[in-house]
Amino acid sequence: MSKSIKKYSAALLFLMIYCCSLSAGSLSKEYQIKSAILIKLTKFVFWDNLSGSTSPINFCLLQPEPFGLYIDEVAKQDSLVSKSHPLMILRVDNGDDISHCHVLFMPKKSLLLKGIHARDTVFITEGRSTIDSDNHINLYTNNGQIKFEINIDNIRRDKIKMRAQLLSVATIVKNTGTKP
Amino acid sequence: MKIDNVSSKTLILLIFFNLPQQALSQTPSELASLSLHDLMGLNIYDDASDTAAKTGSRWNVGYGYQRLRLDGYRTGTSNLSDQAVIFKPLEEPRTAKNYPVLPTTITQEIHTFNLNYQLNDDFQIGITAPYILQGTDHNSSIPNFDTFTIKNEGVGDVSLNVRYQLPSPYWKLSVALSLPTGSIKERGDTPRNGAGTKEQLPYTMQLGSGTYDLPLSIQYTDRDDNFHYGMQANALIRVGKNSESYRLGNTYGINSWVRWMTEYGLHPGISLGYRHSEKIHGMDSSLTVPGAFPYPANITDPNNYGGDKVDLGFSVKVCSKATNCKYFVELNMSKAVYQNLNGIQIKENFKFGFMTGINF
Repeated sequence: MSKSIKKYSAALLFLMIYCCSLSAGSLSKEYQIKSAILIKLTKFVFWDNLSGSTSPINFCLLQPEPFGLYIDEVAKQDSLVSKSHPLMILRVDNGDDISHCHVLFMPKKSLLLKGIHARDTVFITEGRSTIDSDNHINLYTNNGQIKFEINIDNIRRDKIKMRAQLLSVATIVKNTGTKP
Repeated sequence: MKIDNVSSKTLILLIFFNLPQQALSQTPSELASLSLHDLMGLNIYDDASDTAAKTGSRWNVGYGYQRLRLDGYRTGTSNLSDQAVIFKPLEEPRTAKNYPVLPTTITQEIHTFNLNYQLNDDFQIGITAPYILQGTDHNSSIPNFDTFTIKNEGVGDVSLNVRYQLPSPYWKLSVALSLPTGSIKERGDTPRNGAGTKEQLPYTMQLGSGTYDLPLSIQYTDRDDNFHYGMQANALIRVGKNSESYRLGNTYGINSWVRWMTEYGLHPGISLGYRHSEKIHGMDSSLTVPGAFPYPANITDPNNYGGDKVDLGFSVKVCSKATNCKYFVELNMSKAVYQNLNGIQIKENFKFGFMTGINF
């Protein structure tokens, strides 16, 4: 075998192994951070049906969801350091009953549920603006950082109670046709 | 044994390349202990460097290379042969549609250097400086100038850029000021005054516009897990007239693209763009000759500029890590698939280029 063939074979082997190692890699940093932000968002919302109890916050992920078990671990760690309600991560499919969900996260690859008004459920999307939708919060990427917008009209309409600190770090949007 | 050497080298390379990938990961407990404000300050592309992770990359340095080749002739949407454009003194009368000097091939290479700084979440400022090398091969019916080539090189127009992130996360606005730093007084040995003399070169061989120009663009980008895609509307508005009494035409365009985000740091993409450019306003009278037909070559006639073009492009972007484009190289190639040109023009053949950059 000539030297050049050996060199190319080695390079090809390296590329194949490198690519395989990448594809088998852990969750991307983007979704690691999104996991933590989603969990943290729950600290800024009040649910009437949880007041005076130690019941968990049901955090539902519409399938297919991108986090795997990473978000469960973040929720577990958060519960260790947080004195608020424990978090229960639940996976739901399109068509499932979501009335027990305090939060429903709809990832990019999932369907966008429309026309659902579950009482006290905060609807969060990813990369899909909440303007003129039924949803409350949308995560997006800006200059490599995760930001979120809050649809103040939908928050008021559904009487979602949020801390002012959350509104202060979010991009506030309104539905079109709403008076400023 | 040689195979063992190859294996050990491969292993070392794997470890070297995978260390940054591992450094990207943060444990759930680390992230859970951060405040919402800190989490929103983390950069999804950065490595684990504490400062960089919290502030994001603010600087970007880039280099780009582009090669453009023009050959063959066209008027409107019809091709013309070189023989139909060159004036043949003993066979046909001189008209406004044939010329004694015929550029046969124009090549242009542009080395672009840019430096950008992210002021805050909304504003980025930058400077772009091109260095241009260009050449034109000619045929002519003028004695002693049967064939000749003119080449030149130098700094082009430097531009200062401001990019603004509009309130919607999907839209960006870019405004720039292009300064007239490129020469518009390039000279070379043309047949105009015989051999051995240096004359003002045509518009195509100048290095700058000579005017203050405003490149503007608005860009929409979005992504899903597999694709990045976007559209951009752009305009190049030229202001006033330069010291040679002309102004290059404004240009308006719209581009759309889609890029497949593979898991392997190798991202192929395609693009489709339309651009409209105007004729040259005014003229450089030093390019003309006395008589009924003042333009010795088509490229000396300001009416033979501008038109409509549609470009189809292919590109491949190679990132340093699958989830990270902190360092990248992008190769691109485009071809004009439709050209409707004003007057008689040498037509665009293909563009090839690459760019690379680093964020830090």
